[in-house]
Amino acid sequence: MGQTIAISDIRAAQAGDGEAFARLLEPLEARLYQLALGVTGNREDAEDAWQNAMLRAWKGIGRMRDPASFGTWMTKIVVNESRRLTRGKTRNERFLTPLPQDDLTQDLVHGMAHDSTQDLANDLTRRLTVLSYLRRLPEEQREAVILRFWLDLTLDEVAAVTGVPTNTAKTRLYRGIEALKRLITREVSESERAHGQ
Amino acid sequence: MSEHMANENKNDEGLVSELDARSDDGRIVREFLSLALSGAKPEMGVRQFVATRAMAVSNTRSYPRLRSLLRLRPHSHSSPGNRTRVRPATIVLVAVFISLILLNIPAVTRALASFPVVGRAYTAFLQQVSLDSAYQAGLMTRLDRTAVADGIALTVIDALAYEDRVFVSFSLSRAEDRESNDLWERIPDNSVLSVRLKVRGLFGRNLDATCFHTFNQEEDTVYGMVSAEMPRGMHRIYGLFGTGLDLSIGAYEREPIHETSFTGGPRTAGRLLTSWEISFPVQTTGVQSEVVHIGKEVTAGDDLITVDELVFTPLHTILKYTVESTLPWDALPDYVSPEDWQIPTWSVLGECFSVLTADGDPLWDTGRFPDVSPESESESGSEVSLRKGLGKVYFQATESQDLAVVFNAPVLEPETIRLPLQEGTDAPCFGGRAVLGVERVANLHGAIEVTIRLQGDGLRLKNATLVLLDEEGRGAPHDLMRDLPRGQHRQSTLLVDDSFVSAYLEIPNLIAVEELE
Repeated sequence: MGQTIAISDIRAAQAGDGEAFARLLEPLEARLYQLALGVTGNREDAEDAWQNAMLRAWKGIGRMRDPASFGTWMTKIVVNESRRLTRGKTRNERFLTPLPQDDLTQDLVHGMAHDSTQDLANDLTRRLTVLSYLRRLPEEQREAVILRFWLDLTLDEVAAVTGVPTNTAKTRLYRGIEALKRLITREVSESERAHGQ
Repeated sequence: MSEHMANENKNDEGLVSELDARSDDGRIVREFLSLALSGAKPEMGVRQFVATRAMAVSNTRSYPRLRSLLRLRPHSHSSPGNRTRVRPATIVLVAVFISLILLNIPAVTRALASFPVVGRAYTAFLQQVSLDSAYQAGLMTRLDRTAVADGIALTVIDALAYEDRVFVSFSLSRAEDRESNDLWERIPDNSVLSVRLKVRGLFGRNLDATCFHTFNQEEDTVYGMVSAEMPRGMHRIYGLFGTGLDLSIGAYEREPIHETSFTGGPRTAGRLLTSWEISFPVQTTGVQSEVVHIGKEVTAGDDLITVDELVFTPLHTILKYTVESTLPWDALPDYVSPEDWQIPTWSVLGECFSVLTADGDPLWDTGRFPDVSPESESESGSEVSLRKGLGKVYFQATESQDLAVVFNAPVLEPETIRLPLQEGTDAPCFGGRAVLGVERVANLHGAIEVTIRLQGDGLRLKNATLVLLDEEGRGAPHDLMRDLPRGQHRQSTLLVDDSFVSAYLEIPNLIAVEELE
């Protein structure tokens, strides 16, 4: 995760110091939440996964052995909590439920600053479109792509976080990229056909 | 074209042009992801979390855990110096816990020393599942509870809870008042049974149940045995108070394949013919056992496996083993959730053991419980250590203790294998030592039955996860209905939506074992 960890903060957090825990996690907060968002595909589940992950990390930090691996450890917790939420749903829910339209409203409140309402609408439409593409990838490919290209983890780190050999992580990554390309190309082709272009 | 669709089309075009315009996949994917993820922030940040929840969490840790208290109960007769003081508040908690259990558990009647008259077919069936000795010893609780659906009667005959396992025998037959029943004609041969076993009450949960069943033509009856692992640490409580179980069985239509039928776990979908639900009590039975310590070690890959002991009971010969990773601490994952803790090779270790008599005959493996349990769970029960695991395998009972324990090391294919879903396709695996092929593909009603075969010297197929993909590589919304391991073959039946067109078969987990010399 490329973050400098203060060992003293780890020790303090392990002793129950909430402020030290916040200092450790705050720099990772946005990226880890974005990881959860990418894996779960919607804000509600991402928020749940993130909050569960914080709780588990707070409860479990006392047993963490290697302070230098705090980032990887925390990333694994977020991945596991995101998986748990997506797997908790039935397969049909997971594959067929459309993205909640409330996301648009939520993002109006929590999203980034935009120059105009039209810019915001375009940005949100694009965000939902990309999330829907991500959701169509198999879970393990989705995780690998986000961990490698959004969290900038090395292949070995991706393998460690997802609990698979490095070669398997590499395969998942390759297939994820290929599948993304195919999905987008097909969507655009269909869209062009639908509009007679 | 509506404005919304125009915007969407424009956005799609933008995405594709970005992908096509750059050769660096990594940079493209980063930019693609940034469209969805950049700027997103959680509603609850870590500072708010610490302010609102962390202190409360911290405070709860100063109280003893309920589970720890329950574990202490059997030792309450220890000397005063060893007694653990219990806070008054927690005594109330324990009292509430016990009363809830009592309210939820019906009276349990045990038929010790009584031998109900049953047919030869049922006796033969019990021999087949290695529970005839338990039956003869009067250890199984006679239940005879029946539920009728569509003119077909499900009868729960006997139940046995023993060690940490529960066994439930049942039969399916025509209801007495329905001699003519078209549906029944389709059940024995043309259906698959799906079972769900659930613990009722305070600790209610679904159990990971497996089912073996067979049709006896002479009696026109299906006999079945459901077995499951009881919730961790609860069998002692069930020994005191008993518990209630709910058994649900669904019969799903399928084409005949003339195989012995195994089904497992809660399943969904498919064309349901009929279903039954029935509730009954069970109580853990204590049996005399003799323990022989072994303490032999064997290394398999990064794991050190210790055969700890053999436990001889009148019902089973139980092999207990420990598996411990030899990797250094910093190479092990620190965290894993209970759902994901299974290490693929650990999950098949139980199947890698054989127990041979002095004549070289293998004891029949009743081990449909080959999994390894983690050595310890965390305080929250949500994290487990991957350092060490404990496993058990159940073999048939034997009076002889002149036995040999044989272990065949598991071999894990590191790559995910993808094959076109067509008969005759194959791919090399295990570093070229073997070839995995698709031998048979059968489209059933709402299901696809796939038979794969491993060919290679010195390797025996042990486990494989099969995933169906469409032309685009998307996973099917399917459920595994049954899995039949047969030598070098594995036949899986996957329930799949009719609208899904399967094109590929993906095998993310393929495990073999080294063949015996």
